[in-house]
Amino acid sequence: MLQIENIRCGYKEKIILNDLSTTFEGKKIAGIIGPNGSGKTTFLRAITKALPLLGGRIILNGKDIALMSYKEIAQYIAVANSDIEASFDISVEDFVALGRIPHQQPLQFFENDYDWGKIEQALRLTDMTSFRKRQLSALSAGERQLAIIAKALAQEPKLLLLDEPVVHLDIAHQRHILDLIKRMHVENDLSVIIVLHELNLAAEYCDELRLFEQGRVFASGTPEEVLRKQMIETIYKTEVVMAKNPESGKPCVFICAKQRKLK
Amino acid sequence: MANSKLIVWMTWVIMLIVFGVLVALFSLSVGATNITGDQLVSFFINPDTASSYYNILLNIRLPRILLGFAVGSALSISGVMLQGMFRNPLVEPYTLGISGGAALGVCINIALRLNRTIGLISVPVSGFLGAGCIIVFVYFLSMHKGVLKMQGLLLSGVMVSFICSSLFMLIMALMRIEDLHGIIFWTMGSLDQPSWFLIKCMGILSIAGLLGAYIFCKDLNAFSLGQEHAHHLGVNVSRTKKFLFILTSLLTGCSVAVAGVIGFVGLVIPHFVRLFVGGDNRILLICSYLAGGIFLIASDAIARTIIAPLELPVGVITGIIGGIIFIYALNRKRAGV
Amino acid sequence: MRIKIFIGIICVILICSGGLAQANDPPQRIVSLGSFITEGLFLLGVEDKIVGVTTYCNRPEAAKNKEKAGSIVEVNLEKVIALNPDLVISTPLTNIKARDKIRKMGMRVVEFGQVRDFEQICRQFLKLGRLVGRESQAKTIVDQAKEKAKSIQEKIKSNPMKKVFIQVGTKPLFTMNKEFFINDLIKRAGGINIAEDTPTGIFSREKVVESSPDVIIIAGMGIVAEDEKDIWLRYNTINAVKTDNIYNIDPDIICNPLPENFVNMLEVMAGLLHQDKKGK
Repeated sequence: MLQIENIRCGYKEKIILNDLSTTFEGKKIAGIIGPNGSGKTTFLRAITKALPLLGGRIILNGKDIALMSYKEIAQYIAVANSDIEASFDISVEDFVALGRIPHQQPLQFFENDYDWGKIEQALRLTDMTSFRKRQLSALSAGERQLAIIAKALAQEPKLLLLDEPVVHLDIAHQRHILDLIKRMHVENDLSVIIVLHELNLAAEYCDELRLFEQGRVFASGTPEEVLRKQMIETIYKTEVVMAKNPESGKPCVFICAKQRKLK
Repeated sequence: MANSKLIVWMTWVIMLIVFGVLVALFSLSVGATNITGDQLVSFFINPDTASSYYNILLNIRLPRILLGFAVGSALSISGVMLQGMFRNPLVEPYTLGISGGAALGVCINIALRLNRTIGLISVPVSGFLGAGCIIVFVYFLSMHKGVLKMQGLLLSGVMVSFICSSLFMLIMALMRIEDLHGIIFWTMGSLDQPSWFLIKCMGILSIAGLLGAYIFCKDLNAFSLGQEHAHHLGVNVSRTKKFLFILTSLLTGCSVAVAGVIGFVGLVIPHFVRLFVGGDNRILLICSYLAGGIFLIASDAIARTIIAPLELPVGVITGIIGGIIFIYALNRKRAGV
Repeated sequence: MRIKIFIGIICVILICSGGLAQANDPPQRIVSLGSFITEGLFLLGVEDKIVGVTTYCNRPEAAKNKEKAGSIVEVNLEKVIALNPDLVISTPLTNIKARDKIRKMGMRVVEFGQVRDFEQICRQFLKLGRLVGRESQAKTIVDQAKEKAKSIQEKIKSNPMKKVFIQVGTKPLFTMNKEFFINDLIKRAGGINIAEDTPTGIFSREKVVESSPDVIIIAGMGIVAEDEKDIWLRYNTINAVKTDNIYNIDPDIICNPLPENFVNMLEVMAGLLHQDKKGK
């Protein structure tokens, strides 16, 4: 579904991704993990053409994205970031409705019935129906994140990109949102690429993981294959303890406080 | 749910149109000379084309009302577009240096006495050329590898604006006294004595501006989330920015060229209208368009009558009333949140 | 002791009479801060005593060769001091602060104020004559002017009065009310200034259309007369437009309040107002 071929990408001051290649088969929840600055966010930007490629190419569903219009890409891929700030007051309903823009005709200024159908569905899936008239700024962090995902869902994507969607949420919300993603993936055939800081959550929810390091994919495979003590310690440059989740059997990474070790 | 929103929006638009007509009629009826109600009615129904009141209404007051609407609405939607693109509530059409450029153009024209050699039309033309040069200059200052940088645009605009003002004051200091008066009055804004040709041009431009801006109303909505999010929604961000920038420059440059520097309209009206209809550009553009035109017509009526037969520059009125409205709008916002 | 007092009194008398004598001597170094003052000085034949003029003083031609001490509004203080005048004549337009500064520095400044009519113009010219010791020449010129004015006014006495609008500025529209001698000029030429009683010079075009003057005269500095005429032509209910009585006159003339200029202008104005009768 998504082929990345030797891409070079970065900003004026620095090239972040250097000769990166990988392939996403689709129909999976693919997690991306890695230390700060390893190029995860840059990678997401490259996929949506938000950042121009300095070399290499990206093939989306058989087409080179360089030849696709932004609108075409947006009809296929939806992005959900970790937070959003609207410059003016907007209701949840109107915010989610923005997600329909890629699918609307150039001179179609108002949402039609089909649009509203998708918007209703997105609100329902994220349990935000009762919040629809509330102002976005009046929601809690968790509720706002749900609204963001609802907007992404309203976009009818085949591929959903999530950039650290739960980094600022409590465990209840983390679970709620990740369960939702999983359910969407299963019920609606939605492919997901999710960037996560929390290694244990990545292990729990993702079908495959890619470990980024300094602008390239250091390792990729199942959580069991990627989350190994040696590999984590090398990349993250810190001591860790590995274990298994007693319920799901997925690998878990723990860190121990330095003082304890010395004892 | 969608329908109720549409109904609310239509109501606002109709209310504004009705209000606008009333304000226009009111403006038509007031002025330095007294025109009775009968005369006003007969102006529309069965005018006595040889009478002085007909002449006053048709050739003095009506042109001002039409031009006032065209300029007010153009400045207003320019403000909406710029505030939407920059996500900065203090941005208005003049922040980008456009008014500075136009003022400088007119100043040079008057200082070199070009209006004597070329004719009266040279004043708006030089204003427009001045604005155009500055726009192009600021535009290229903020372009980086084909991408228009918003922050760069703002900073360049402000700096260029300062430079233009300084040059302007320099030329004023060297000017002959009799020319000075004219240029000062021009910088304060005036809807005085427009020629029908200029009114037609401005009117067409104003309507074209609304239509052009409306095509991008959804893009502007997407912009409110930030450029990157607009990107993710499939908006061609750089193309949209360039188009809207050129459109606002055109609208503002021509407004300034024709009517001088009339401040605050582009800054205040979008804020004020937003308080009532919300920030969705699909309604904000239309309502701001109408409100801006009405505001300028009303300001002009006040400017003409408050100390008649003396006529204040309309920019003075828009500044004072605009400032009061702005403070009110800020307070409402603060209280509301 | 008594001798000291006596010497003291003699000294005081000598100094006072010296001062008086000095005051009685006509000034030898004059700085004129107004173009009409310069022109007046030339007319009185004391041009050789002029050491400084303004940049606007261009009548007569020879005035252009004199040292420039400033513009109509701004005075170059250093220049004035350097010229070491014993008389400085200022106009209503002269910068007040500059004028007071010159006075404080010990130079003699005589202010010539605003003149509202012909009588005041004549009186002012006589005053100028007295100042420079040419009183009799001044009187001659004034008497001649008064005679001429009288005869012109006689000739047009029986003509009907014409409503006049005089435009001296554009953007904003500016005219002259009864504070300015132009108003008197119009009256003497058999006209009625429609803006006579307006409080300031700013006038509304609507009022002009409403009053429908018979004659419109465009006389401003910094105006393009043709363009202004075109604008007036749009308002075809105005009498002046209907009868094609829109004229423009050289603004320099109306800015110089001198007796001869006034009378010359009076002749021109009477001609414009009473075209068919005077035919000039």
